[in-house]
Amino acid sequence: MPTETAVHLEDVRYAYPGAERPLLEGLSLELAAGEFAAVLGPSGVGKSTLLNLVAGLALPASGRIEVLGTEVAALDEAAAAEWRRRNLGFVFQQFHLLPHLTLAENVALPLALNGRRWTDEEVADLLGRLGLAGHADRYPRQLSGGQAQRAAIARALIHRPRLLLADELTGNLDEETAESVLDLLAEVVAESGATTLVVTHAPEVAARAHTRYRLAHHRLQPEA
Amino acid sequence: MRAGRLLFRALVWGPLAGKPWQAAGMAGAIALGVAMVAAIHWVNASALYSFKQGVEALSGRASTAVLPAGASLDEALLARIRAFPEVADAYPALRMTVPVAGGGSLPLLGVDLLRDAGVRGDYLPQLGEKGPSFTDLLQRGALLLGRGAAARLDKAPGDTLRVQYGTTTRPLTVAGRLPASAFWSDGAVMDIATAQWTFGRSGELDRIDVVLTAPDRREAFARRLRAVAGDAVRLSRPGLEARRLDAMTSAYRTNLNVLALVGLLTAAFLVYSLLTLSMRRRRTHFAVLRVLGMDRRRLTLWLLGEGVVLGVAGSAAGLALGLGLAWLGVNALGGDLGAGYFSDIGARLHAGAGDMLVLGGLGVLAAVAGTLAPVLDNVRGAGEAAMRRGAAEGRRGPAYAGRLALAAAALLAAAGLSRLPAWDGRPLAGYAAILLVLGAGLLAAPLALRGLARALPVRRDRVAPLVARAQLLGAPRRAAMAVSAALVSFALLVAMATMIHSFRASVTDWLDQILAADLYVRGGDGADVFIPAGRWRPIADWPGVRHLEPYRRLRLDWAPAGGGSDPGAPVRVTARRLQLPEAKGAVEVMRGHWPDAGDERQVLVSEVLARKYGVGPGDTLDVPLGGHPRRLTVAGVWRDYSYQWGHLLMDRAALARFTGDHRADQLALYLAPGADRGAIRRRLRRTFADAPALEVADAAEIRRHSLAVFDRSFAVTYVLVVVAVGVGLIGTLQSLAVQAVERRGELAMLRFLGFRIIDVARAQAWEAGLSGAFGGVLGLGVGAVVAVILVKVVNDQSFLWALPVAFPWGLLAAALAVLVAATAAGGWLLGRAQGRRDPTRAVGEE
Repeated sequence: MPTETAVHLEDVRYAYPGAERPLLEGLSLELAAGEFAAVLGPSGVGKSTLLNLVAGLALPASGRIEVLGTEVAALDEAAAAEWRRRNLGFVFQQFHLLPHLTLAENVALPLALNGRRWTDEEVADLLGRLGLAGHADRYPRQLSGGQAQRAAIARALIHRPRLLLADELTGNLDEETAESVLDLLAEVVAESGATTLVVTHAPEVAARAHTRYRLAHHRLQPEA
Repeated sequence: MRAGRLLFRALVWGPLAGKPWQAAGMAGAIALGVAMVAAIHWVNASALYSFKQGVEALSGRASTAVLPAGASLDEALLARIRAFPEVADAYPALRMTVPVAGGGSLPLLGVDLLRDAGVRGDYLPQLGEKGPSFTDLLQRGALLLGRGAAARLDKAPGDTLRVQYGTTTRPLTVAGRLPASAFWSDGAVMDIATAQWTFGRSGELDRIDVVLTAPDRREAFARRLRAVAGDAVRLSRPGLEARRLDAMTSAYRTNLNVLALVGLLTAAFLVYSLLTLSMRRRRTHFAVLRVLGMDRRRLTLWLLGEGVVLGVAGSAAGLALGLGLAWLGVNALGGDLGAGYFSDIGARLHAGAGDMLVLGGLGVLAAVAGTLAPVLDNVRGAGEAAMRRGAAEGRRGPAYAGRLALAAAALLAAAGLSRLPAWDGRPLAGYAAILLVLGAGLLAAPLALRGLARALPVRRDRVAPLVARAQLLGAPRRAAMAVSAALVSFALLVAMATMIHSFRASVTDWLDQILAADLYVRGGDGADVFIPAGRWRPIADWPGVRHLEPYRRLRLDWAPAGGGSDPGAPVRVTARRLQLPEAKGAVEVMRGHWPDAGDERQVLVSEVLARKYGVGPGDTLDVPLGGHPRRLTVAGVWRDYSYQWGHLLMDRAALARFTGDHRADQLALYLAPGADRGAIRRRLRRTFADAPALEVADAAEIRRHSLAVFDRSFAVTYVLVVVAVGVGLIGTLQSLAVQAVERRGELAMLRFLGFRIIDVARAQAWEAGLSGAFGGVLGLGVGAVVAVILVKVVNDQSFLWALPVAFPWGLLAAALAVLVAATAAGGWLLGRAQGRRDPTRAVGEE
């Protein structure tokens, strides 16, 4: 059982600029290294904002956020960007593959951003493990939703991040494809040992996680 | 390296190659802008370079030239100069340009053929068996023809060349050819004594080139010369002559260069408006990269790479096009692009590698400048937009109140700058004011568009215009983006058309006034000819001739004190019978009064001379006439558009008394009522049949010719404006096309609601036409303000001519109609194309 703390949120309060009421209040969360956690909640409750806070993309009004031993809210823009590209992987609901790059190039993007060298075989190997063998030279517009999401997962993992964040990763997929993507995610997360935080409104997605939380009334509550 | 290539493809090459027509449009606009700037620069530079080369070749080893302040030098001065202790040797020369029978002219240089090798090089051909003998060269009219002139005039050794000098035609004999390497390739060389004899100029010289014993003896030489010759001479150096021509043509060249740069600015604006739309579409991609860990600075630099690529591609194409245009310009229009400043310089294209780097750099700078604002606009935020569905939202930007405040501040600043004087003869504050007015117009455009759209009356049963107006009201910033390029270029059109029309209207009124005589006898196309007194005096007694007014014009290398750093452009002196009633009626005195009868020393100075040298009524001038300074009094300031650098009008009898010169170079005939104009005209032609360079014309013909010269001098301006307007129109249509693609889902939804394809086309035509109309109306307003600054500040400070502002309403209305029609037609075609798309697919893509 992993014991090191990967994500620590303590009494975090967040409000949109100019909003009368806070979106999140008194929010606390602790994830151990290697833990696979899911946050459930309906649309608009603040799930994506939670991910933004963890990633250092949004600043809390109050409270403490420490991720992988770093107070992310205290970093300036350039330092935060460097911290993200070294430590974090992201999977978006909309996939967000760059249309002018091939699948292989999209997957290799985090390596390029980190200034690391890579080989075609390295990328091809990961694509193969995600069921995308032979698709390396195709462009995003030539892929199905499931293929695009698997490619996005590959991009999120190519640089071996210590923390993986996923926002509604099956939101744009049909049921069957969503199942296969979830199976894949669980497999690669277990292999990589990365701490994983998924936000979703779908219980079947949250069911795959080790631990589950529900975000309601501005707060996080553990869910059985 | 691999990482760099990947990021280059993702952020620079991929987006450009993904929309090749759009990229080609942007690069093409930059190319056109660079081509205009480069062509104008190279044509002007070629003329100045050719002039400088010619002057340096003419001066040869001599570091100093003695030139006459008046008509010519006394040959006796040569021996005196040679006796100066500072002088190693001195070389006399005659220099003329004579009209050739059959058309064209011939530059002639008369030199001491035996001694001139000491200063200008030995350019004698091989004498003796294979060439002319020296005795041949001493025959009356014998000359050595340059290779260029021989080809141009189609003459070979042994041929006769007929040229006009005064009112007679003189035969010259081509005794031989100058060597191929000789500098005087476009002209001819004669022995100086032969030249003096042939042209009746015994005892006269046009220049004495001096080689000093040491360079530091120049001051001593100047002092000794002044003691001997006084104000009858001036000293010059090759560099000084070139700088003088540079200064004389500076205002014209600066204005053309600025106009070309505005064309490049329009191109930069096209890049800005298209990239704003393009980058807005890719905002989510930028957000993803920020989330993945690309910091803002790195992303900004990569995105600016799009501008660099566009700039490099555009500049390369633009430089090639500019070279071609410059070659055409030099060969077809001359080194002054038709304006008449360098008409006697045979310019050859001269384009250096250093120029290319600078001009190409300007193109890259323009493209990067157009890229900067969209880049900065779209890399804001921390990237959290990627985490949200439908994340590509528009930028909010400054509120309307902020925009209005900025626009007002810009206008105030422009008003302040417009009051500042020129700097070193350049109206830089005026140019800055123009940029600020354009900026104010762009800032206020969304608000103005909204106001115009709101005020537009549209019936509820007219769906297409209703949808179009709703679009403009709902997204005024996006609409303003589409029309901004058209706004800027239409404003430019309004401003330039008004400036030219104002100038032309003033010149036309002036011509109507000054061309008061019925018939004129003058040198055609400005040929330097003169009519001896014995030939023009009898004409006064012809039946039907009420008055005969002879004119004499001189160029004086003299300027009143107070010209500042200007090396001193020559002043023109025109002498006419000032006390003729017709003369008084033909000249507008702006300040002061007409010279008093009986005081021959009272003169009128032109507005340019008065403003340039700070001279006004009551001031005195010491003018070198007939080898001596003559104290003349300024009676008044007159309006003159015939000469740009200072013009003095004096009494003819006074000039004749001062100089002993009774010749005329133009005759004006005032006919008696009922006189047979045609018969007198025919008689004049018969009288001067042996002087083909003289033409007989009436006022209407001279007016037509003068206005044709005026129009030719603005030909390049018209071309530049048309190019800029074309770029603006293309920019607007491209922006509308991009927006139509962006809104394909919205347009498809209209199909679901029952719109037919033609209805979609009609709606888009209305929207594009309204955008064009509103952009044109805004451009009209902005352009009107810019026109006032151009006429009252820029042109006034550049050329020292005060002009009233006159708007060419007919032309502007027609241009606005063309703009609206073009944008509406473009909208129709775009709407039809979008309407034909499968609506189910278009909605699904959303």
